[in-house]
Amino acid sequence: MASDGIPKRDLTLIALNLLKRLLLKFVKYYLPILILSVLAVLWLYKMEQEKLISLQQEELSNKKQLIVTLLKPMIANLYYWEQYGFVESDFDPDKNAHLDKKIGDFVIGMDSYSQFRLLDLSGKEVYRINRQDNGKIVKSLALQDKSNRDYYQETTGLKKNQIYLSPLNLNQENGILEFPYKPMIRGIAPIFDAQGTKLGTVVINFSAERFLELLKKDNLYSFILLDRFGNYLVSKDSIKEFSHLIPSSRDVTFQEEFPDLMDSLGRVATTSLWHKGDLWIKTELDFKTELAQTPLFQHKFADIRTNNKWILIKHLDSATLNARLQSEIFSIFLINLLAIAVILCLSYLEAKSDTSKRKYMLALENINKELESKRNELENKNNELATIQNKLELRNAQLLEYNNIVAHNLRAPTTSVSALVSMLKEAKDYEEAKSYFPKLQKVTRAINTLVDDLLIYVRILNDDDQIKMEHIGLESLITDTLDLYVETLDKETIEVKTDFSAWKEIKFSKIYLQSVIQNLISNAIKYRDPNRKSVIAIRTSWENHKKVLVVEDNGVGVDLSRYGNDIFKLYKRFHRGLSGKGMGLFLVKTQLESLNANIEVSSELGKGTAFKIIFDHYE
Amino acid sequence: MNNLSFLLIDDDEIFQFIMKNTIAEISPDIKIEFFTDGEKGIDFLKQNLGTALNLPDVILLDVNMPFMDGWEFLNEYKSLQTEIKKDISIYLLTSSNNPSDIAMAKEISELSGYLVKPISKEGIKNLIGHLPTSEWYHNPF
Repeated sequence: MASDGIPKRDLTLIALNLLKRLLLKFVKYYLPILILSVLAVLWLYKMEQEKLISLQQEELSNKKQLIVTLLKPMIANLYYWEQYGFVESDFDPDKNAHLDKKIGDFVIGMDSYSQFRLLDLSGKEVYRINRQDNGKIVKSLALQDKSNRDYYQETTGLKKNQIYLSPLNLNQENGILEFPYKPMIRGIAPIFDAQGTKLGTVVINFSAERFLELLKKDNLYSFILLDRFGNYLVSKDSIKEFSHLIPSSRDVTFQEEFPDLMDSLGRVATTSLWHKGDLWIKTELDFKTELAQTPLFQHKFADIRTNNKWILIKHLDSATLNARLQSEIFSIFLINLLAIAVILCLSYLEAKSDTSKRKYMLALENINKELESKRNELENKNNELATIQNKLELRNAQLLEYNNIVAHNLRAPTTSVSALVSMLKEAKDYEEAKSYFPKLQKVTRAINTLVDDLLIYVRILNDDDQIKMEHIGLESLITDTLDLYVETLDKETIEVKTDFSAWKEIKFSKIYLQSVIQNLISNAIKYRDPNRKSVIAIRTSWENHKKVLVVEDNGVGVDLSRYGNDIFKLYKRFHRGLSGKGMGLFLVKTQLESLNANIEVSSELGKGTAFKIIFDHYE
Repeated sequence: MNNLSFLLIDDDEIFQFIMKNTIAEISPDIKIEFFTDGEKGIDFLKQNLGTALNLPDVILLDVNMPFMDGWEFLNEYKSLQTEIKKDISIYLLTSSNNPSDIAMAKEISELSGYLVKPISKEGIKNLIGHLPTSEWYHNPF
């Protein structure tokens, strides 16, 4: 950085300023983006959640629909077999072999059915077809007694056209859980003969394996299926599934795991709620309500007897949710980073252009300062010139004054001399001539006096450069001067008041100042008013930063409107009957002016006179 | 001419003496009186406003005088003029031949002329010869 006459301190200042401006501009531009980003995250988060909830609810609703859709054929099939027209002999295992073809074909076609059975009124199997694990359809000759099984006991009271659906549980063979576990739902319908006599029941085992697989499939989030008691039918934790049925597992229900949550979820059929940061979405499936709408035959609806009420839950834990949110925050963070980089660049450019502007202004200011100092220099020179001019003007006026004095005051006596001389020449006798001598003597004396006075005047004019300047203590100077008049002052009891509180000392010519003060005091005494007690006041003061000395009396005064112009002129006298040759004030003014001081007068007839000496630029 | 009366207002006593002698030489009948300043001259005029007999025909007026100078005297005279029962010719009589003084004098209608000192016997005779005149008079200098 070339320091174009800019001090190093200023450069540091500029750098600091640049940084400050950079930060300010950065904040100015970035803050709105930051706010928008935060708002965007919040808005996105909210939208995401709403979308998520509605999506999950839809998914649950789809699952529900899937269950219903898969179960509906069973209702229809049971109805079919209920209406099939079995006769009493069909419930005799020895006489019902003719059913093999019909039922076998049926089971082959329905691959989700794992068993087809007929039970007589006592609960004994009278007909049984199994679907083996390999998919083969085999008629079982080992018929079991199911009289002690809950599904038999639940269905003994079934009336015509009623269909029973069992809870989803695990298949048991001969009272023992089949392994691997086979989850299933049993659909049961009563069989009546043509006379309306109940013959037994038809039992179809609906294998829920595939159906549960379908429910478990494609779950981004944990899916839970509960029965009405809160037992797990589906859980991502497979150990919990059917734990209420498997003796070796620890029985655990949803209620036990999340008591307060179940409470809240239980109130409404379809709902979603937040619990400890987790999102829970729930819908209920009441078999009776959903399947009752299944049309059977000629607008007849199924009369479903079942306790089944399932609860479908989606559980989105906070970690998963946050992971989603984090990815969004991360993308917005990246956008912010990019914005920060761009804004920093822009701010830097802008602040730099500002700074160079300021630098330019600073340079301009320096030039201005230089110009100003040059101007001051010029002004000083001008002032000096003005001072010199004043002095020249003063000198000019003094010379003019000198000319006037010579012209008026010297011419008169010299012409008188020449007139007297010519009169002397023409004198008739000595007596006459002799009478002219005193006149001649008077004139020559006047000429002498005038020449002496002029010499004093000219000396002052010529002396002003060599005059000795010294520090003068005003008080002692004035005391000394007053001492010269001590007799007059005492005799006439003239009071002299002094006040030197404003200033006490001045650098000036002691001889001149003594002469000036002597003249002024002498005047004040000479022109005192005999009709009142005389007071002479001498005081110092400041006016416009200049030292001022005032000598004031309460004497007879002068009519300045008449004599204003002449009071400081040579041989001017204004008081009849009072001695004075009119030289004092003329000298005072000349002496003061020769040393750049001034004198002013103010006076009023009968009141008094005040002389004010103004010292220009005096220490 | 013989009964002319002069009034000289001038503080220079020697000049008064010279004028008295000069006038006496011209004619013993010419009266001349003196005052040493304008104030005394004005006071005299004021006291004799109505008595033309006591008033001079000619006033010779000096410029530089104490107490009241020639210009001031003319100012005072101006205010008295209507009351003065005599036509008085006033001439400035001064040692100044300064052109600015002469120009100033010409502006004053009460003045009849401008005389520069010294004035000789011939000069006074000349002046008397012109009296009474309405023309501006000044002696050669």
